[in-house]
Amino acid sequence: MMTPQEEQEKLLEEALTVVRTQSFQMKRCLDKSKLMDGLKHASNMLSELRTSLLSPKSYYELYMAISDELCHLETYLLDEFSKGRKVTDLYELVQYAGNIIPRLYLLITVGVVYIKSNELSRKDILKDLVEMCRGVQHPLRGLFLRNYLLQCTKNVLPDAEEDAEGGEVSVMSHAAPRAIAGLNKMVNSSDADAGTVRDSIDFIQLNFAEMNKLWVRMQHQGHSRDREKREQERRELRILVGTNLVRLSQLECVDVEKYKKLVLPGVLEQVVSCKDAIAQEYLMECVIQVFPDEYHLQTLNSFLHACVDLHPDVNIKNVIIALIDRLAQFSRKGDVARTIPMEIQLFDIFSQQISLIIQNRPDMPPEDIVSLQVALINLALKCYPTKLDYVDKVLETTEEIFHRLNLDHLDAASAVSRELARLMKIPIDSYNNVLELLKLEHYGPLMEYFDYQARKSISTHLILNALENETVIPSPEQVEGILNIVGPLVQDQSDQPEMDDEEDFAEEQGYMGRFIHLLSGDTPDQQYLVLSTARKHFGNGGNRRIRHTLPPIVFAAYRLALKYYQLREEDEKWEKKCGKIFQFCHQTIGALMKAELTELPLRLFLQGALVISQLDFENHETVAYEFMSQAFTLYEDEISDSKAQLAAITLIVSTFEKISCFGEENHEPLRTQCTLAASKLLKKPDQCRGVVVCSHMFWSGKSKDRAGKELRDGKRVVECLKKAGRIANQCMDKSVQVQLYVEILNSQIYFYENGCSEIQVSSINELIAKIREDLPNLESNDESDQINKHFANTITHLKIAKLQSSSNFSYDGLDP
Amino acid sequence: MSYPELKVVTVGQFRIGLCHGHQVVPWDDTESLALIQRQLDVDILITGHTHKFQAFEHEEKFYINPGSITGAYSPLDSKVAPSFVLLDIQQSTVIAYVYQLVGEEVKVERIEYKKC
Repeated sequence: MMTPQEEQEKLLEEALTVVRTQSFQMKRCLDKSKLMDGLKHASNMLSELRTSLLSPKSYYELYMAISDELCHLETYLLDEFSKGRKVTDLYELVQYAGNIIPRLYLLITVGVVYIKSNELSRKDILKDLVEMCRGVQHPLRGLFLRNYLLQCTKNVLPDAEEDAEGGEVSVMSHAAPRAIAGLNKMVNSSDADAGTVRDSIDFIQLNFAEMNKLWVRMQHQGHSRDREKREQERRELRILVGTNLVRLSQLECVDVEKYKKLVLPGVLEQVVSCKDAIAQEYLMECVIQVFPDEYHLQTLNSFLHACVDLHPDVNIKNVIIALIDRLAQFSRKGDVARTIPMEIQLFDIFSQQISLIIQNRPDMPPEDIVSLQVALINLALKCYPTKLDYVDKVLETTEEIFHRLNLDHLDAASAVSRELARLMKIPIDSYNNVLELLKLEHYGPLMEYFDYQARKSISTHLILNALENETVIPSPEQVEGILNIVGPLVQDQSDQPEMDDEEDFAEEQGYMGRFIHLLSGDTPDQQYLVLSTARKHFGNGGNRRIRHTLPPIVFAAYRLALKYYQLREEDEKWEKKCGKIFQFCHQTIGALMKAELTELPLRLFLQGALVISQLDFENHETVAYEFMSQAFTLYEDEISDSKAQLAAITLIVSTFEKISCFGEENHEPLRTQCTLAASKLLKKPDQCRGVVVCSHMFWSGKSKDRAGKELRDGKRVVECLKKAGRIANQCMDKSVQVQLYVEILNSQIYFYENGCSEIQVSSINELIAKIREDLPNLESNDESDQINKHFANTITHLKIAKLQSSSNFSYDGLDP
Repeated sequence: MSYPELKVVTVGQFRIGLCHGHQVVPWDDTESLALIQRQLDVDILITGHTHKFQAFEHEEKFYINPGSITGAYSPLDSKVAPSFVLLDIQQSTVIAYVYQLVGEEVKVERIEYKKC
């Protein structure tokens, strides 16, 4: 038992064997100039094409093999004719072949020879042939027969304009299946009537119509259970029908006028009237592909009108989109000559016709409706880039449709949501300027139709676009506009799901943080309003969000204050404005405190104090003090981890050291508090280090009362270092103790070399000796290695320093 | 995720110390940086925090502050020019390539440091 595939192969092989044998015989006879015998063999060969057993694929192979062989025959005959050896009545002779298939194939072959040899009227022969083919009504055989006709006549179709002499327009009556007898006897016209391009058009239109009918008829052949297989076979054959349209497009004398009047109407009529979905869909797309875009522009209304009447199963959206995309491409080719002529209101035409189509198809799935809107918006953006209102119109239409269909809260995974998201992203990607989006009235409202997922995705896309294009947002209204559209990224939404991936969340809030740096008013006053607006929106973002979004706002505010200071000559109100800004910052950082954050607000207050100290607006000392004490309060109340405490106090002290705006009244309490805090740290090593850090306040801390110069209170420095030494003595861990000694030693050196004469060389020597004593007793491990190296480096430094002479200090008496 | 405050890496013949710099009191003070260098026992000390590019030799050790690659705001300096540094370590020589964005132009500087 053979599979269907094997059966086909066997049948095809058998047929091809016959073809080989008969064609061999045919050629042998022709070589011996035995034409009639040759024709007999040709006829036998052609009889294989009478089969009903072959699939379209196999039939095609057989057909190709035979067409090849028939070329020999054509060549032979052309040769004979050219040598003057016309065979009389050949045209009639071949019609005596027994069966219609061989008869018609031979007739076509001979007919073409006659045309090429300028025998008889080309126009008449063509007409005769195309009519004669009606004799084969079997779809598969008929399609291939007519294809053979089309291929053979490829280069002989008349392609000339109507001649002015007005040659006799011979109207051929509808030919009966038998050729008009004695055709070859009508040799009276001297100029064998060559025909004009009109005749070619008629010829092809007729061939096309007949082929289409045959093709459609295939749909209804056979059992309903084989429908899918049949439709697949039909699709395999579609190029046969399409070739007619290709041939029409190859006629050089067909200009846009002829296309409009003679070509398109006939084609469209055939397409619409056949009422077959497969044919309609393919042929409409074929028309779009095969004819030039200039033609389409001039015939839009007829084409689109035909679309309205197509079978409901036709995927009309693909057809329309193919056309729109082609025209959009066309208009972008840059060449001035190629722009859309003003009279053709492309957008309006498509907009109206698409509405009609949608109206006519109540079952059209919403995602297809959106796809059409996507095509329209692409058209608007590509062909009319300056017309924002076209884009808005598309959005408005979409919104209306969705409202009418009662669609809402579209599931992000659904086709319609995906398609609509595509629609929304197109203006973003096309304008590359989110400020343009704000001009689209219907953009924001359309966002509301999505579910949370999709809204978030589109919002993220929007923000990323702004970041990539570094789009500056200059006005508070625009800030408001954008933050409203990207709501899911700014504030909690009513339809927000519970869980969120931490990393993703942090990443997306990172984008928002970066976005804040794009908010930049044209003037400082404008910028203040911008930041206030942003603060209002982001402030409502909830505790998870504000830690990412409020810090950038604070920093932007610090920069703004600096700006005001730099422009102080031009603005007499600058001092009040600075004051207001720091109030704004104070409040904003306060919000972070309320969200139970500690490290972050502490650092922000310290940063603020630094900025404030540099801008001498009215009361700035008080404000700076406030910021410092806020930082301190956070330290005292909220930071409980000992490692964090040491780090925090270090930060506070090192910040304080840089601030020069405090008078003694303010400087003193801060110094005292810091030192106290350091000495109250829980762990001894931390206490020791903390106190050492504080010593710097007394040395290089700067006071307003001393015109910003350093305190250089050597006495207090020494006190701190001595205290640190005492604390180190209390450490139980020997290696930690020695480590601390080395650190204190280094601090001594630091201050001594900086000119602190209250430090005695003798105390340095003492400490060195103590360390030398203790080092060898340490257990040998990585830690003690480290300490040893530290000490060695210190000694090396001292040796170098001793040799150098300096005005600040002298190491006489040093015993390193 | 927490990172250490200080780190030493060895590349070729060089011990390189990394420290953000906000822990060094006073900030941006050469001698106080030297304290860290001695403690970590490194040939090259890399710090940051100030957003100000610096590269110098001090007592035969190399100190680098690559500045801020994004030109981020710093309260210590109102104009931050974006900069970064690449270290090319070959045997006992390090070549630091300093890239700075001055206006619209990228300027490149070459600084050599040899280990003693």
